[in-house]
Amino acid sequence: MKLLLIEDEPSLAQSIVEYLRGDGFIVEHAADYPTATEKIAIYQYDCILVDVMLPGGSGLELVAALKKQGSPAGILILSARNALDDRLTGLDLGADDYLTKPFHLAELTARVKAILRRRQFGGNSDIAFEEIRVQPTERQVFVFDRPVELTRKEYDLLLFFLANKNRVLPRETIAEHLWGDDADQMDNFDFIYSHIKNLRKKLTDNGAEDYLKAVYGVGYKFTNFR
Amino acid sequence: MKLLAQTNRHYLLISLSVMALSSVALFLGVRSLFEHNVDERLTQLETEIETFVKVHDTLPEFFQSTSARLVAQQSEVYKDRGFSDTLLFNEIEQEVEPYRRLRFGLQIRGISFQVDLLQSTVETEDIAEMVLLLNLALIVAMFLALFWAQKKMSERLWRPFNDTLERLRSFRLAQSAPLTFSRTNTDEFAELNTTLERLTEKNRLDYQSLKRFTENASHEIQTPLAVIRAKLETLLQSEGLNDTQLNHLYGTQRAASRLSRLQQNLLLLVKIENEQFQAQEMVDFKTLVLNKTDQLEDFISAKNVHISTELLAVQKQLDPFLAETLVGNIVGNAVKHNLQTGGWIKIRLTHEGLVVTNAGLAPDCPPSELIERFRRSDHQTEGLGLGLAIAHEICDQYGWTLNIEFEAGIWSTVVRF
Repeated sequence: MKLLLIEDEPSLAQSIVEYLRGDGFIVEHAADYPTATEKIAIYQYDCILVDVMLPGGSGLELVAALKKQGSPAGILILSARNALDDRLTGLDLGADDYLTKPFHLAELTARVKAILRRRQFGGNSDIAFEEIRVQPTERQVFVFDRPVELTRKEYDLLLFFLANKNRVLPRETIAEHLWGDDADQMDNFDFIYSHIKNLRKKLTDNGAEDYLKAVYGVGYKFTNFR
Repeated sequence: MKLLAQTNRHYLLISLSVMALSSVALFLGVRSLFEHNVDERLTQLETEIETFVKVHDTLPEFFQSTSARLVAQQSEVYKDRGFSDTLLFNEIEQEVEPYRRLRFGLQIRGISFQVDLLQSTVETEDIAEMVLLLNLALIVAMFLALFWAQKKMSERLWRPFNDTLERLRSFRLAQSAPLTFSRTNTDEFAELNTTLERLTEKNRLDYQSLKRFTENASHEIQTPLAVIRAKLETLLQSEGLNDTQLNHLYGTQRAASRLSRLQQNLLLLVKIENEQFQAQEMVDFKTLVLNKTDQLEDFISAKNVHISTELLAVQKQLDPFLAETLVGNIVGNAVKHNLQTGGWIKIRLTHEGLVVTNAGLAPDCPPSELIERFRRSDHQTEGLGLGLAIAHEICDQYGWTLNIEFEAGIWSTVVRF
């Protein structure tokens, strides 16, 4: 899978590139509008992550250009907060998703994977992890091919873990993924625990191994490593 | 009391006393003048009578031609010649009238007489009274005229001042154009205007630069903060970190994300102040409230908060993002600052406003101060202390009011449309 990150802040770009490479993606980086147009013209990408504010032009123009060329690449717009207009314009232009800055890299990874899944297989690709299998189109979860009933939040939680397997997910990151900005309304993240507990119980009750490891004082990690 | 009313009151008091004194003086003066005249006439008559007596040795039979009356009676030798006032019955008029009397002694053929020369003064009294009345009427008329003239004049004279006041009242620090006043020919007002213009302009510019600073600072912080957060997240994934290191990293990450929320909210506040949210759409507040309670459902049930709503379909023309932020902040606060056990929230939406009441702990500062930036009740430390400041700023933009009160364990947050 080949990704293009268009982001002008070098330090930030470096972190994003590194993080995504850790997931096995091939990631290229363009720091400004001309470099980005050049790369898009020459290479094929599966997903393009584009910042709206770019030196030399607007990321939205790039999106428009990509769509005009009929590019099959998935597009994720990265933009400043509260810019509702950007969001609407971006999605109108045909971008797949929109992420406001600042974001968690874990969130970015989950979004990119969701876009790729929808793009590449029309959403029909199952996500498999050992004995656990998820059908994203049906929002169905199987353990040893037996269906498991999950609540919406538990399902979102599992998918988020699967998108970030083997990674430490701090409670705050999880809370923001599940509740977005409303996570601000929480006095503490304790009650994520109940959702985690329920998810773990439903999976293990159906015969799955317990892959959900608590990282003391920080959060959780979904891993099959010992 | 108005300045005009105050000066008028003084003028009135002074003029009234002066006028009253002058009226009395006038009345007395006129009367004494007439009296003097009468006395002279009577003295002249006296001389005529004495001359007549000397020639004819008898009292004259006259006085058809004059209004004076003569009364003579035999008496001891009368020496106290003098004038006095007396009342006599006038047979013609059939009433008692004031008279001036000159009484003197006279010898006719060796017999002593006491002679009274009497002159009615009813007319002079009437005239004096008429003069007094006329004078009073004149005074009243003059007062009325003066009042009216002064009112008209002061209205005209004070117009620039009232105009200045009016403009000053509508002055807002955040306004984009300098405050200007209309030209005036009155030196004092012109000076006042110049001073005010300088003062407000300086304040406005100071405020603008402060705002610009906040905005720039927020913007400048944004990128390094994003870098810090990304690096921390990458670092958190490093192999072989022990629990302590992980905990330090997580602590740092939370602090960074708090800082970043702070920055976003400050920026939002500045943007609202700068009136950068100008979209005008019909926003249905009922839907907005229902959406919000829906989104917060997980938190509400986790805290066992009982929620009840009473919502009319209220639509307002405003920026949809601001509407969402306003409702979100207020409802979110009610959830966040609720009781740990037995909590409840009531949301009432009417055409007059949005009223959110909830159970909660007593604040440690006056509730109204919570609207200020970075003010928060110390029961919780997670909050940024900007939510209500933002809500207040939004209300301000649409001319609504936001009130926070706490009484007997109940918080009420009221937006009055």
